[in-house]
Amino acid sequence: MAWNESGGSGGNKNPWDRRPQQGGNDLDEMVRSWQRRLASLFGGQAGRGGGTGAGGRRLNWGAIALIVAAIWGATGFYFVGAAEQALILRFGRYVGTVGEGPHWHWPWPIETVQRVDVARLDGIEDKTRMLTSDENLVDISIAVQFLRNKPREFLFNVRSPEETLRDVSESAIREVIGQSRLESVLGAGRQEITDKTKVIIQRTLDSYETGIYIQSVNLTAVNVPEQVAGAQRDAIKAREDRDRFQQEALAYSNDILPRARGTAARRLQEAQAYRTQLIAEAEGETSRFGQLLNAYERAPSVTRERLYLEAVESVLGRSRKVLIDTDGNKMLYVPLDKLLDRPMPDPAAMGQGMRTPEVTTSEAPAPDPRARGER
Amino acid sequence: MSVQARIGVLAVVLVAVLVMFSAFTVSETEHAIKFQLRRIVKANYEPGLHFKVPFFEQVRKFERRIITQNYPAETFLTSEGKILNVDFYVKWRIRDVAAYYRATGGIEDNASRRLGESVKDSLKSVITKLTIQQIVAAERDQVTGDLFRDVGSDVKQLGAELIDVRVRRIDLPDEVTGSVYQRMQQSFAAQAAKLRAEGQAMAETTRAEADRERTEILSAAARDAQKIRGDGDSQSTDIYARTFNRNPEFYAFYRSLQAYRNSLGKETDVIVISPDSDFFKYLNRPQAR
Repeated sequence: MAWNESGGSGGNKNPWDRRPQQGGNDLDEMVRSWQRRLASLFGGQAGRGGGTGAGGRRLNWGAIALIVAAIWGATGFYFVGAAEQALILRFGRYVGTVGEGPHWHWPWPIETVQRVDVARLDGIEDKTRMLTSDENLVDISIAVQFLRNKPREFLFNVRSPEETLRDVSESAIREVIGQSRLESVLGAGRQEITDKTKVIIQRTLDSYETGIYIQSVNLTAVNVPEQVAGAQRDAIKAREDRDRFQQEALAYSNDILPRARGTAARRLQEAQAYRTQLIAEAEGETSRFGQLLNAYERAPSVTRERLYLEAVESVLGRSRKVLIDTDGNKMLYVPLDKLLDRPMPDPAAMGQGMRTPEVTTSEAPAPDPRARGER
Repeated sequence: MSVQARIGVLAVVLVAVLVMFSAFTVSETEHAIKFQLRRIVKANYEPGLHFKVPFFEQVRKFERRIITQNYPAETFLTSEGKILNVDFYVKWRIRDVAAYYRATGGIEDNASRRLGESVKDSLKSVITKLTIQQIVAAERDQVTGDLFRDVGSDVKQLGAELIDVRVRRIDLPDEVTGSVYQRMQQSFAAQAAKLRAEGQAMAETTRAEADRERTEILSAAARDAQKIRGDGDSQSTDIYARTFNRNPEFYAFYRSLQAYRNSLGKETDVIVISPDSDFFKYLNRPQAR
C-alpha cells in the first residue's frame, strides 16, 4: 500500500525507503555480514579447538555483540490485538499498516509501531447552556460515541483529535440548537436535532480529516435552567389540566346524554301508552254505550227511569244524607263541619296520574247542560 | 588481529557517533527546518530519515498536524447594541514552515495570538452587522464566509493555513441572563394560562354541546309524545263522537248519571236534599203518578 506510493517513484532520498523484502539494501547487507562474521567466529573457535588469550578476547567481544544484536532484534516482535491496527513508522515516515496477529518490525530506532484501537467505541459527554433561536436558554447534555476508524488520519492529521471532537460537538450542537425553537428542543424536535448535529459533527471532522467516525449522538438531557424550571413544570401541569378539563367535560356529556335519551324514550313510550289507553277506553266505553243505547231504543222511558233511579240509589245509598223539608222557614242547624271533619282519602291521589284522560273525555262530549235542563 | 579488532570496534563506534549526530528523523506529524549557522537552508522535509552536518547545522521541528486554538469568551457588540460573549476556536496548520518561522520565531503561541486577533477583528465586523437572533441561528458559513477572505493575507504572512473558525459558545452577559430567565418564566406562565384556558374553553364547549343535545333530545321526544297524545286524543274523540252522535240526548243523560255516580255518593259525603226532588216523589205521595 503505502510503501508503493513512495517506493514506486524510484528517486528515493534515503536508503530506508523500501521494505526489506525488496532486498539489496544496506541495512540487510550489514546485518548479514555481521551474521557471517559471527558465524565464522564461532566456527573458527570450534574448528581450531581452543585458542590463545587473544582468541578468547575476540570470542568475548563477538558473543557480547551477538547477544546485544539478538536482544535488539527481539524487541522488534509485537502483537496486534483483534480490534487493533498497527501503523509502522520507519524513521518517522509511515510505511504501512498491519492487522491482527504477531509481527516483527525493525527495532528502534529504525522502525516504531503505533497502535490504534479501531473497534473500540468511545464516548465524550458535554453539558452546556446555550441559546435557542427564540433567545431562550437551555441546558443541553450531549453524548457522542465515536470510532477511530481511519487510524492514519487519526494519528497524523490533527493534534489531539479527541479535544477536537469535543470542540466540534459543542459547536455543532450550539449551531443546531441556535436554529431551533425552545419548544421543539424540549419536545418533538429532539430526533431531528441529534440527526442534524451528527451530520454537522461528522462533516466537520471529515473536513479536518480526523479519522473519527461518529457512531451516535444523543441528547442525554435537555432542561431549562433551574431558574425557570418551576414555571416550566407548571406549564406541563397546565397541559395535563387542559386534558383533565376535557375529560371531565366528556364525562359530563357521557353522563347526561344517555340519560336524556332514556328520558326521551320514556316520554315517547308514555305517550304511546296514553294513546293506546285512550283509544281502548274510548272503544270500550262507546261499545258499552252503544249496547245500552240499543237496549234503550227498544224501551226508552222505562230504561231511562230505571237508569236514573239506579244511579241516584247508588249515589245516595253510599253516603250520609240529610233530608230537609223545604216547607216553612225553620232554621235548621246541621253541624256540617263536624260531619266533614273526618279523615278522607286524598282526592289528589285518586284524581291524578293515569286517570287524567278522564278530564279530556268529560270535557269534549260532556259539556251539555242541556241534558240536565231538559230533564 | 587484536589491533585490527580494536581498530574495527573503534571504527564502528565512530561511525555510530557520526550517524547519531548527522542523522535526524522527521515524523509524519512534524515539519522540520535545517539551519546553517542560524540561516534557513532547507525547510520542506518529507517524513523520514534525513542528514545534516553535525554541529555546523541544526534542525528544529514544528507541528505538521492541525492545531486547535481556543479563544475564551470575547465580548462582541451586535447590530442592536447588545453585548454577547462569544467563544470561538480556530483550526490552523503550518503550511510554509520557513515563512512561519520568520513570522513567529517558531513560537506557536505567537502565531495563535496573531491569528486570534485577526479572526476576532473579522468576527467583530461580521457580528456588528447581525442581530443576536441572526448570530445564534446563523449557519456557520454565514459567520465565517467573509472571515476567511478577511484574514487570508494575515494567515499567508504567518505561513499558516486557516482550516476552520467556529463559534463554540455564545453567551449573554449575566445581567442580560436574568431578564432572559424572567422572559422565559413569563412565557411558560403564559403558556400555562393559555393551556388551562383552552382546556376550560373546550370543556365548556363540550358541556354546552351536551346540554344542547340533551335539550334537543328531550324536546324532540316531548314533541313526538305530544303528537302521539294528540293522535290518541283525536282518535278517541272520533270514536266517542261517532257513537254518541247516534243519540246525543241519551248520551247526555247517561253520561250525567255516570258523573253523579263517580262524583257523588262517597261514604264521607253528606248530601243535603230536599224531599221535593224527583227521586222522592213517591216518598210523600205514593200515588203521585
